[in-house]
This record gives sequence, structure tokens and C-alpha cells, in this order.
Amino acid sequence: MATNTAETVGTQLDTDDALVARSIKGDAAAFGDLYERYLDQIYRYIFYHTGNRSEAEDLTETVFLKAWQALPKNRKPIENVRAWLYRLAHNLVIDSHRTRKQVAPLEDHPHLQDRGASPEKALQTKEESQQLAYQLSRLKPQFRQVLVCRFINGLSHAETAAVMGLKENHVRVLQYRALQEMRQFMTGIGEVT
Amino acid sequence: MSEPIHDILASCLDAVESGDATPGDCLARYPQHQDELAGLLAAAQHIETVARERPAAEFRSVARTRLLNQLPAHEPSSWLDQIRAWWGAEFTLRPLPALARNALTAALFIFLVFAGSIGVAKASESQLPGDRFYAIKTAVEDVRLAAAAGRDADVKLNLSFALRRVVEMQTLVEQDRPEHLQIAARRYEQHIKHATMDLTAVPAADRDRYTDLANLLISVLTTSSRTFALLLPQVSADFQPALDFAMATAEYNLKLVTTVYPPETMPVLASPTPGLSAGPGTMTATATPTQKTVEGIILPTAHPSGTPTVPLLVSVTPGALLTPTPTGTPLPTPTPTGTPAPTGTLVPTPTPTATNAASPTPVVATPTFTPLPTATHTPVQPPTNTPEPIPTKQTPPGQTDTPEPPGQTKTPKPTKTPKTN
Repeated sequence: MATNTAETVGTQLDTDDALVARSIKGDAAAFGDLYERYLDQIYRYIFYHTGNRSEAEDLTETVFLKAWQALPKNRKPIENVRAWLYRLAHNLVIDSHRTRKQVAPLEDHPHLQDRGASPEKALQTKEESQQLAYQLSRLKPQFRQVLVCRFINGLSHAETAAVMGLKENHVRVLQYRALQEMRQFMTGIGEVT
Repeated sequence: MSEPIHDILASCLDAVESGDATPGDCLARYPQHQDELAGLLAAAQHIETVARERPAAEFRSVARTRLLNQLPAHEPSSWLDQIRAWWGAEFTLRPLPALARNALTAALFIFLVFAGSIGVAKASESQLPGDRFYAIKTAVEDVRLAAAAGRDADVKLNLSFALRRVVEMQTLVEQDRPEHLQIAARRYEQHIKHATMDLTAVPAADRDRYTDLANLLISVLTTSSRTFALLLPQVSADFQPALDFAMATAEYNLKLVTTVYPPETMPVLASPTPGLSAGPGTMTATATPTQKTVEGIILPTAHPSGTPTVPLLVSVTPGALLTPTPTGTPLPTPTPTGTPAPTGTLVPTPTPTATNAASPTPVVATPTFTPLPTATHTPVQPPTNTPEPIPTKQTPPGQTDTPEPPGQTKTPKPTKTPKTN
């Protein structure tokens, strides 16, 4: 147990760049540390795009598998590991949306049927995040993307611009319009007063 | 101009996230947008508050192990990736525009091809028959011959290349590689034949213009013949036919050219190499500043009044053939010092003065052509107009291995006796 703790402390001391450098050389343990460091963030990012937990888990794992395979082939050093992982996740989400066929829409889920009936209670439970995912799913993809990056994953304007491949000013405009729509949804169901 | 609302919103969000301001501070700062900003900030805060989704505990507990079990081993990187890794991440032409990139690539390719060709051609110059790149050497020569403009250039190039062949044969003998002599001998025959044909085809009225070249050809043929004669006893009987062939070529073409261009003066030649020279003090010549150099051959000035008109040969390839030393002057002309001391047993008189103590060598005594005694450095008297002595065929005593003169025991026809395979 003490060993595990020591390893954990040591792992925390490793920077992203150090873990990436070791991973490039084939150090699977280092890559495992990187995985644990970003597991929650990438999972959350994917979940609020898909609204499906098991799909989010699978895609999260796939993101890191692709990252492992891509690391030794990268011609340029990775300047921002977090942004790079989000970028991989973003591409996977897009591919997933393109390839998956008929999926039951979120509003058909039984646990969402009575959301409007008790919204304040939903905010206190785990299903509230599912409700948020549902609301986000009704936004345009770019609006959803900017809100997830900014307010769910806590990326700065610059980082969001990097993940989305846009200029920072464009992200600010998208953020404004996305929040406007989000506010309308929330007002419509009476959650925000 | 007022600040756009999306920038105001972004500034407020940044200030709140960093803790520099509260939502209330932002609303107070922008009263004109207070209502709209309040709704937008509330929406953002709602998302941040609600978005607490985390992976299930069951997933988290096995996630690392499950992922590590799926990780494939890294594939070995390609050689290009290894070069990039060694060179650095900046090893790429991508930052350049496409046109510049293509132009740079094309220029690099052309440079490599050009430099490679030059390098190979240069490297092949020292090649000998039987060497890997000897064909390149001869191909370059063929190209130069094909590009030669005019009779003069053609003759000079052929003579230059013929001398190369002589040097090659000499080197082959020195390196104990006589099996390749026949290759050089055949090409020697081709060069000599072309030069002779070029000169003998000149109309009689124009031959005065080519006297110098004819003398040069005679010099080359004489020198070649002597060199072959010296090489002959150094190779076994199996490989002597190649030298016989080359020597017969020289003698046969010498007869042809001297028939068309009767020599006024007999050419005297420098020894091909120090190793083959008759000895110190003999057969050396001085190249005067008035002489012209063509393809490594020094041409004499046209019939000077005070010096013999003798073409002198200098080395054709580095360190190989015919390097004149600054002493002595060939002298087939009447004796300038008045006390002729003929050397050897050669017939025609007058004999030149021999100022050196060195005795004539067997080469000098070769009966085929001219008597070649040692000579004084500069003649005191100008040459007379007496005709050139006619070479005799008398064999000096003691000469047992001297080849037979042409037209007696054998009449070689170089073009019909190829000895190469």
C-alpha cells in the first residue's frame, strides 16, 4: 500500500511532457499514468457530446488507444498534451456521430420523460447531467462543442480555439450565441429564473 | 465604438473564472448589458454546476488495466522517421510554398546527377583497361572526339588519346597485368588510324597548313614504337602479340604519314617515362616558350631559324609519359659544334654532336627510323637546308631483340589483325 502511494506521488510529479516522452519510447506504465490523469476529463467531454455513458467509456478508451499508436509517429513534439487529447476525442466523437445509425433519441429515454416534472430534484441527482447532455444535444455541434470545452472541461478561450481549430475571437462569438440558446432552453423548462 | 457583447461576455467569464471579479461586479461594470449578461452568466454557471458527470466506479477500477492490456507494442519507426528523429523535428520542407519546394527538390536532383557525373568521369581518368570504370573513361573520350570541331582538333585529340593508351600499356606491364594490353592496343590503333587518315586526306595544296600536326603524329608514332619495343621483353610470349600489334600499327602509319609529309627534320622524342628512358642525359628536350601546347603535346614553332623544328612531347597523364627535362635538345640537324661524334652505328651522316657522356641506348639504336644521338643543349649554328637523312635498316651489332622493320619480315596491317577478343 505504501508502495502504491509512493508510486502515485511520483507519478503526480511527472509532467505531461515527461510521461509522453516515456510513452513514445514504449513505456506502457507511463502511458497508464497519463490515462489516469486525463480519464475523467476526456470521459466527461465525450459524454456531454454523446449523452451515453457506455459509449463515452468505449470512446474514452479508444481515444487513448489511438493516442498510444500516434505518439511515436508524431513529427512535431506535442506542445499541449491536454489539447491534443481533446482534439483526438473531438475527432472520434464526430466519427461516432457519422457512423452510428439509428440511436434512440435522448428524449425517448424513460428517465428523461419526467425531467420537466421535477427539475429542481434532478439538479440534485446524477441524472441531472443526463438532462444537461440532452439540452446540449439540441444545440448546433459548434455551440455544443464550445460550451463543453469552456464550462464542462474548463478550457480557456485559447485552448478551446486550439481544440476546435478556430481563432479565439471566433470562439468568443460562438460562446455568446451558444449561451443564448442554452439560456432559452433552460428558461423554457423553467430551470433558470 | 462600444465593445461587442461577445467580448464583454468573454471578459466577464475570464474575470469570474480567475477570481478577479464576481458576476455582480461584471453586471455593474456593464449596466447597458446587465439583463443579457445576467442570463448568460447564469447559463454558464448552470452548466458548470450540473456537469459533474464522472466515469462509473466499476469502469474506473479496471480502466487502466484494461487499457494497458490492449496497448500494442510500438511499431519500429521507418528509416525516414529515424532520420527525422536524428535531424530534429524541423526536418521538413513543408513550411516552404509548393513551388519553392518543388524547385528546391529539382535543383537538388540536378545537382546530384551533375556532380555525380563529374565525379565519376574524374574518377575514371585513372582507370586502366580491365578496371570497372574504364568504359566510362573511353566513353568520355568518344564524346570529346564526337564533339571535336575541325580536322585540327580531331587529330590532336586522337593523338592525345593514343598517348594515353601508350601510358596505359606501360602501366599495365608495370602492374603485371598484361592480359589487358590488347584492349589498349586496339584503341591505340583506332586513334592512330583516325589521325593518320585525317592528315593524309588533306589535299596536297593545303598540306603546308598541317605540317606541324604531321610532325606531331610522327613524334607520337616514333615514341610509341620505342615504348612498345621496350615493353616487349617485359611480358611473356603469350601477351607479346598485343605489343607487336601496337608496334606494327605505329610503324605502318609512320610510313603512311611520312610518305605524304616528307619530314624535313627528324623528330626526336623525350623518353616516355623515367623508367623507360635510355638513361640520364639522353633523349631529353627543352620546351621553349614559343612552343604551343595542345592536349598535353608541345607543338614546335613553325620552322624557327635557330632551333631545330622538333616536336616535343610532354606528359599526357600525371606522372606518366614524356616529361621533358630542362637539359639537352634533340638534334637531328647538322652539327652545330663542329665536332661530330656519332654515337651508335647509324648510317646517315652528318651525325649530331654528342655532348653527353652517356652512350646511346638500344632505343636510340633502333634501326627502323632515325638515328637519335644525344644532343647539345642549343645549337650554335642554325640548321642548314640539307635534306633529312634517310633512315637505314642496318642493324647495329649486338642487337638481337630488335623487331624487324616493317615491310621486310612482316607487313602488319593493323586493321585486319585484331588481337582483342
